[in-house]
Amino acid sequence: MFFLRNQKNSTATDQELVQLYKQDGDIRVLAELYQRYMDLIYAVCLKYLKDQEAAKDAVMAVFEELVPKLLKHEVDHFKGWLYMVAKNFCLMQLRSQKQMHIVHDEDIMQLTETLHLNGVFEKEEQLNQLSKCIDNLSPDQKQTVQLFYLQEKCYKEIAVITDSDWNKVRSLIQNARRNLKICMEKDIISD
Amino acid sequence: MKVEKNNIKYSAEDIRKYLDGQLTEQEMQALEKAALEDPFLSDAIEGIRESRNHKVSFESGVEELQKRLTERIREKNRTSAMVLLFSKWRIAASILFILGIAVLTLTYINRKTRKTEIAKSPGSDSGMVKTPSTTPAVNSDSDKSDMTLNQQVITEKKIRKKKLLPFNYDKAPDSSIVKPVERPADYSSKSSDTVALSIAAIPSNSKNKATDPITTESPKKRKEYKSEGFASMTPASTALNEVTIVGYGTAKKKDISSSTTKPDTQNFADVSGWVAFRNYIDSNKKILTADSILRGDEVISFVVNNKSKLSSFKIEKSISLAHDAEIIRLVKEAPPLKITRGKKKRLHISISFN
Repeated sequence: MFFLRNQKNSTATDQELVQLYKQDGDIRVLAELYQRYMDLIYAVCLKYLKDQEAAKDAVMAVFEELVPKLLKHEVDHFKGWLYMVAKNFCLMQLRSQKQMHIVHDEDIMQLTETLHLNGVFEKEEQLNQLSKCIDNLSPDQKQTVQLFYLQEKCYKEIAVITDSDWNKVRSLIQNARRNLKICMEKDIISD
Repeated sequence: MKVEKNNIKYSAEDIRKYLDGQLTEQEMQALEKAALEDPFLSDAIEGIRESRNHKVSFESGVEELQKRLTERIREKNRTSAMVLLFSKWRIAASILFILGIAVLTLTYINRKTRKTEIAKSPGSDSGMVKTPSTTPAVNSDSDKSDMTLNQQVITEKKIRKKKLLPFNYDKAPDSSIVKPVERPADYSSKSSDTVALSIAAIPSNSKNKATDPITTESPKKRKEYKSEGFASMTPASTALNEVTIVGYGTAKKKDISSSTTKPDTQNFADVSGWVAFRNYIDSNKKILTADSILRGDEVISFVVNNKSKLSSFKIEKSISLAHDAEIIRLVKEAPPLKITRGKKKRLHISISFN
């Protein structure tokens, strides 16, 4: 970013830049912070809007939204907060265009699921329950999960091993994670 | 790929490498694992995969966005600079306005103070009314002046009995008659060249063609007036007031306004009612605008007919538009003049604004 070459904040952390922007309200500081994630935000907008020009406009519009929002809100984790702002903006765009698709797809729900699973994995005593639940998965899901988590194979390798494609492997793993979560919650309630 | 607190911070470049198969299997698995934990990364991977279905590359899109963001920042800076610039202009305009008000106020105060000083200061050379005892030059004539006043009153009565005075002479304010007035400084050394309109100011110069009501009488009667002490009234030539009737008597071109050179001004003596006319102008002249700071003589000419109607006003010498308007107003509102000979006359008068 040539306009940021003379900036002294290039090594500052996200949180430091957030505080600096809150103090001075200098839009250049916000621009420096934003450009760190702008390519990822563009990618996210592309995912939802499926149109490059609309995605570019959305990226600029999100920046404009940040200008007042970041001054008002207390933001502890800028990256996560920025993702939520960008995603909500894209979903609102889709809603306003009456092109709203199913919002609660597995990918969007992933965050909550992951947090719960993380908690489960951290507990040693629940590992036995987890292995029970893995045994209860369908053969495809069980094989994929074992290859991915235990043998640490990537999607591409798993696709070769199971003789399927990348998307199917990904879908199997995501479904297996959801089923495991349900299984673990059931066991906790029954206990 | 940056490692941050035991977590790998993936960039769009890492995703591109992942999608292009440029990462090792371990790296790919780590990224996939991270994507399962991080919805932002997961969505970004899907977005970049989506971009591969479009003609324009993801990288060129990012490049364009960087330009747009740069432009956005420049725009903001320009706006800030403009705001600063406008605020500077606003300050400059305010200062100019305040200075303007201050100058006008000072001018007004100065004018008021000057007027007060003129009114209070007897030694002023402004040509305003002065008591005889204040100036040595006048002092020498003060006794004469007092005597002149008494004689003048007596003479007036006599003349009135003989119906020689103009019909409006008795309308003149008494003060104008009884107070000898000082000549303007410019005329101090040329008192014999110009003649005041006061009856007492009639010169005895035989060359003078003046035909004041008194002087229109026969030489026999004139002698009679002289014998009654009228001749002693000549010192009243010092009573030349701010209103100078030019072109009367033996005025020289170099001494007074150029307007006096006009030949028809020689007919002044055929007009009556000058005293009241002059006194009215003296006591009423005022300039209320900022032009009041301008000094000098204003000369106007006009035609008076035998019905005392004034017409054909012409400004011969102007100080300012405000002075022109004031002199015309004064002439129009002043007590009427009457010509005693002929149907109409063009007259020139000069008023000093000091």
